Amino acid sequence: MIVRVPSGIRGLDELMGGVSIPENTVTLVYGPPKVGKSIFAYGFTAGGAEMDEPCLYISADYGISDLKRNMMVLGMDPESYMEKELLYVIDAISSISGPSRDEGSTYFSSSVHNPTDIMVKLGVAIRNITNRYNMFRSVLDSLTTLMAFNDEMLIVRVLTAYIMRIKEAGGTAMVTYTEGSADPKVETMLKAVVDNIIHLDGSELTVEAMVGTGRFSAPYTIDDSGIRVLHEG
Amino acid sequence: MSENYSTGIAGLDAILGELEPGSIMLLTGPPKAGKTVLATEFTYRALQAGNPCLFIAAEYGYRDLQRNTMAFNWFIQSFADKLHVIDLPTGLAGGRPQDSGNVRYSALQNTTDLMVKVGISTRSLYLEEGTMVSVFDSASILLAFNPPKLVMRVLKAYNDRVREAGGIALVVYTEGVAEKDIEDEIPGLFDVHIHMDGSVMSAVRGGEGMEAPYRITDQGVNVG
Repeated sequence: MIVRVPSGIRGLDELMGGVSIPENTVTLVYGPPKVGKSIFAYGFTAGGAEMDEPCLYISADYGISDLKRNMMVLGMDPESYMEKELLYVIDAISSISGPSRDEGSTYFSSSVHNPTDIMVKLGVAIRNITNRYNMFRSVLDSLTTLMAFNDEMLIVRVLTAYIMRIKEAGGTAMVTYTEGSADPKVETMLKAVVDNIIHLDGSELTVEAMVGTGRFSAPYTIDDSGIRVLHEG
Repeated sequence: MSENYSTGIAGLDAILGELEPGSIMLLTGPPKAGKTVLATEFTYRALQAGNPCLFIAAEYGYRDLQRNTMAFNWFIQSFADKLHVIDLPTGLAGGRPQDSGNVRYSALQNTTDLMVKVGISTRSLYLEEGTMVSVFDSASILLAFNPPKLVMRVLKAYNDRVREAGGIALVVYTEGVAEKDIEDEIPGLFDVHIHMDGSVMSAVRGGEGMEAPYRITDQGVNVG
């Protein structure tokens, strides 16, 4: 019996019989640049928050201001999620461009240069979340940026540690990665350590591997509310 | 002299035949081809047949092993006295997991400790039972944490321990994660090389190869 949770992606859950992402697993969302991988992750985040399931978001691509703006453009309410402690952000990029902002109970500043510090903040944030909730989500967006600032194999090790931490705490996670950005050996290793793999190519979503599900594809579009998976026929 | 083994997976036994004590199998393939399903089914069938098993959980922890097997209704917990587990990654979660019963914790980056624990388990299983089956899932993840030459030595030592205990083993390896010269060298350490490409399973043993189509169902690996 595989327990699944809603993906937060319009159309995807319906296509899979109501719920789609196996609970307490890690899903790799990958594809070329600008096909909607981060938008997919925002949908997963907001989908959880809307049913009072918190999300721990490690943002390596966008600082907190850009992250909030990106989500607001899609009609999501990141400010209120953070106030209600339904969105916890580890901002690994803002500190690169200026002095770090004050940390609070839902905002942690770290650095893409320092994966060890990201993991420390992850531990603190997970403790905060699991004190209050039994279930939570997590997003790591993106592995590509972490690899640009660090040795790629180090990031495989960090990802393995991230996966173990999230799973041991009972969470369900999604990690994004830009196809072809790392050495093919590293890319193969990434696919090996995650549980589920979803590929986006700009027009088609392919579930390449998922616990308890066969491979399938469906077309998708991106509109002003995010990703919408379309049903054929 | 102990008796020969079989994998307990019908279609695979048909292409492999019986396995003599000391047979070490390498299972390769791309990610998500079903290698872990085969490895866990092999474990469950061995336990069902009364063989004790040493499972090295390297790519996922003991919790995931339990869940992966439960998804197929293979209740490995009912064989707790015959199942030894060495869990490598759970320590990365930040806690200090405590050994309990036959479940021992080690670390992906501490191959010395791993080999000590492999030695303890293979010796005790050999002394108690005289037979044993072992699974290592997967050896490829070690390459993210250790130099390739060290990983090769660990595999050699692991294979030696299993042979000394008169057991058989299945070592899972995700192809394409190391340099070609390393990957070309690995099959030479093994007696049998099984490959899964997502639709065809092949087995090479003593220079002879056999293959059969397979698919993963909710009953496990369906070969043939």
